[in-house]
Amino acid sequence: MIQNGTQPKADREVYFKRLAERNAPPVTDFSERIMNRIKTDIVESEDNVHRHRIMARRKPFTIMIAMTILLLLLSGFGYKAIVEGWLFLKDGNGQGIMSVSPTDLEVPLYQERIAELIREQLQPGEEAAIMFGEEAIKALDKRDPLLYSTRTVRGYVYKSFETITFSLIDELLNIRKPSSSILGTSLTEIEVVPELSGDKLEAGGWVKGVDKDSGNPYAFKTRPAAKKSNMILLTYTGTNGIYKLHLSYIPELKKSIFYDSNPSSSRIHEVEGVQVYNYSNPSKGEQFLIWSRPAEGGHFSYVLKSESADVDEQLDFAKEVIKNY
Amino acid sequence: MNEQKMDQPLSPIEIEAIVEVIKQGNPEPFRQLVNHFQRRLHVYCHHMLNDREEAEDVVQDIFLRSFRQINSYKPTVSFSAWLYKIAYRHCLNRIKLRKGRLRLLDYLMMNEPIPQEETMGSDSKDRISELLKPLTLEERHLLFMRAVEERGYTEIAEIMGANPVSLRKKYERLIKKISKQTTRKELLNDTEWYSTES
Repeated sequence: MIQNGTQPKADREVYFKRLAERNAPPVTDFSERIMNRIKTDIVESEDNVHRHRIMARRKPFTIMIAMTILLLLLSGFGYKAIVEGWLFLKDGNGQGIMSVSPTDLEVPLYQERIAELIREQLQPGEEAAIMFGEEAIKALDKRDPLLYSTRTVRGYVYKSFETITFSLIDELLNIRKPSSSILGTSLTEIEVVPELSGDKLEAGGWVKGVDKDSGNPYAFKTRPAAKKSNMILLTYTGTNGIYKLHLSYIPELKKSIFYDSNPSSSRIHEVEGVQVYNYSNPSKGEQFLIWSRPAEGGHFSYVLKSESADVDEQLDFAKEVIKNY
Repeated sequence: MNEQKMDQPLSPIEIEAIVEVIKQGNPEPFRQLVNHFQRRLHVYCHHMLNDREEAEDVVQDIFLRSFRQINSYKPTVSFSAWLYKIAYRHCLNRIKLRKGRLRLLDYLMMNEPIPQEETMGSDSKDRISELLKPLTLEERHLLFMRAVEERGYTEIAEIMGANPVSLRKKYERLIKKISKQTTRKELLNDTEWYSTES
């Protein structure tokens, strides 16, 4: 291989490769650290604020887009198991835009209740982070890195679009304003939900409590929410009942994943070329429609809920929304 | 440490499938990509930065950054090439920060040897450190990609945003540069070590 002072190129490469291997750093498994950082990133990210906010809102919206990214992170499912049983919905251009995952994401009722109680005490534009359980409280006391927290926020309520401070709604400016009347209903309330603050939560200033019914401890901390919004909740009222249309902008990174413990392709409806998913959980008395459509840099997500209208009536309402926006 | 876990080999098709699932919004399969690439990236960063602790930080940053940007990945290049592109740029940025001479950095990084006192960490006595010492970061990257990762010039060019032909010429010059530092004895010793190990 080595001939009289000359060094064939291949030998030099092999030499370097061997040298690099011999002087390589110790084998280290970074996977847990990286996945934890991703988890934290998701929790802290403004992009992901969406799911916390919806979760802490009214019960119909507790099952929501992207909510269980974190839970799936912790679940350790294999790749095949994750894909199996999923439904993939398409937008009006035939592109995949939303997935339905067969995952049960039940939020404990006491957590929903406490989050709603805290939310009701907030001022418009104020948010709260809530920790549940002894482990989280201990981490708080020891000033360890904060564990997963639920966040809730109180929006600004308006009676018409004309009175909204639209500077709050960056991405939603790109859509046409929803009509003030749809299928015999009138727009009676608009709630502009601010983004959660992107600042890290400080260790101090937490208020502790114990849920009387369950005995579970919790802690919460309030602070001003961000001064912008990409989410609105529209309430339409008519003689046939009330429709609530939840409209939000989701950055591309967080493509919609909707979680339904019992997904069914028979509940996918084609409405004006868009695939709309009908979530139905008779045991909980919950039912609503959900769909997405692409937008620059991400997509818009729609959730339509009505306590009084049946699925067909909701689909008619959804058709008007899709046609016009 | 779980060697088996660290060495899970994935085919390019499997990697692309996993990326698609992650793009759908499910981050968990990213763990498989971490397990697949982390060792190679760690070694790469270690030799690029020549700082053990910093390399560990940077490996994590690279994976986190790639996760955040995964929707921008398009399979016109391999995921591996895309990942190394992020790694290369990240290492460049780390050196920039380390030097604190931001405006001159691109020029310095790409055209001048990295000053010894600013890049050599506690492992600087290693022979490989001696070899890498006079090389620019670009040269280190090229050497690592070609000699250690055994990548083709076209792929390296994609990673570096350069011309494959000029890269080949650079690499030829680089090998000559290195050969001046490696003695015949070293090569013979290495060959002996090589043969006894296998």
